[in-house]
Amino acid sequence: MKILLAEDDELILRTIEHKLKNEGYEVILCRNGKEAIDQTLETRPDLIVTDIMMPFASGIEILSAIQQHNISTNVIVLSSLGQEDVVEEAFTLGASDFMVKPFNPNELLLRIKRLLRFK
Amino acid sequence: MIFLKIELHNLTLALTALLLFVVVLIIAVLIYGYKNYQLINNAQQWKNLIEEKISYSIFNGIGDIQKDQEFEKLLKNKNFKKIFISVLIESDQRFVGDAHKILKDIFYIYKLDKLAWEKLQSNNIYQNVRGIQVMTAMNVIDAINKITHHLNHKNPYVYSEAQYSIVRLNGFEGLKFLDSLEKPLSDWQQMRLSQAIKTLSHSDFDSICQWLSNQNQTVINFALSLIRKFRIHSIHDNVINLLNHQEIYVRINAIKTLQTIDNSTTMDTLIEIYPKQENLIKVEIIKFINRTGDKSRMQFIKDILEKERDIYILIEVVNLLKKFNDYTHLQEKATDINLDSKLLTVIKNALHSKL
Repeated sequence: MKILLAEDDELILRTIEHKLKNEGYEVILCRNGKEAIDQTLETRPDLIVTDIMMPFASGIEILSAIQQHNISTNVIVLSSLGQEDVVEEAFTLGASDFMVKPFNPNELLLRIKRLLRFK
Repeated sequence: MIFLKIELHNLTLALTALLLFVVVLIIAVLIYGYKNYQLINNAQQWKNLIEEKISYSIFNGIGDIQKDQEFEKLLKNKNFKKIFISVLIESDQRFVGDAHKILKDIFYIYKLDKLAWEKLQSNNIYQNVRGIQVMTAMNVIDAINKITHHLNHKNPYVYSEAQYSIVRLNGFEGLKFLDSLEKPLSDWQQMRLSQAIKTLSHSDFDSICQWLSNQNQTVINFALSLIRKFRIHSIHDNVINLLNHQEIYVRINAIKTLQTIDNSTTMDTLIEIYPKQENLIKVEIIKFINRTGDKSRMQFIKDILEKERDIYILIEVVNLLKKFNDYTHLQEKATDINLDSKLLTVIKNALHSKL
């Protein structure tokens, strides 16, 4: 199973990477939104975990690109407090789940497993 | 001639000394620059290393990083420890649950608490702030007493951080300082404090009521923000009393708050006070009707359209009639030849948007 992580916060990125690799997932790391869109189109991951605010392209733009190219994948959005409107927009664009920072990495792992269960 | 020679000699000496001074100065600047460059360079490398260790520990537990000799060696460097503390403060905004517990374990295992206490007790304001931030991020309850002293610090940066910290560490109890607060709470600080309050108990309502009659307007506004956040309906009447407050911004905030806790009497009260209010308040009252969507107040709205002259009030009224789909009245109004040109434009825009 391939999971794409799009996050500009290095610590969050590495922590999730450690967790996922140990669970046997193949992990693709992207540190900005544009890279995430390119990688999504190229590698077609089974699941994407994306931050909302990132350089070059936002999590919303990633979701739009997924919708535009008709890619079937689950997306978990990581948002900060006060971004409720954007989360709503993310769901309209097809996001499967969201988590508010600060978050518990174990909880994220459980949600990832739940979404990938039927893949 | 001799006099001239002596002068020349002195001049040469002075020039040489000056030249030497300049050379020494250049060398000092170069050394300083190089050291700073090294520090910045190291800082980035160290930050990466610390983040790597933290992320690894969050996943694998802290046992393994304790065996890392290189890391242990670096921990003897004070600058490295400072960066470590900064990373821990930043991490507080990233993780909760088990992951946060590991951050706390790391804080104590590497004895960063010692440095945090030093910072907290330092005479330097920036060190104080850093100390407060790390104690808050690592949830060090023992630091509450010391941080409480900083509530009276003369520097706004320090006392603001102490206020936030006390509330984070102590919950609603931490807001006790508001009882006697004379300095204003900035909007930003009100937002932070409000965000730090996660739960309220019924017994906390008394304090909130008391803050509504505080001399400090910013305390009143903060209390109103808590009422909005937690939808405290039982304080409705106290908020209504604020509609007589001398300060206009308190009244505006009171009306905004009433939108979240309104009952069957709220609208009548607002309509009753409407005529005597300033235009800004009148706009808020019309917005209130707009948000509640109460169509039974249509006559009141139509009367305002006839009587008021302030363009901002009229724009709100037109918006409201548009929301209630009362285009007939707007169409009639648009044919009035005595109508103010600005209002006519607003009405025409509203009618145009219908099409």
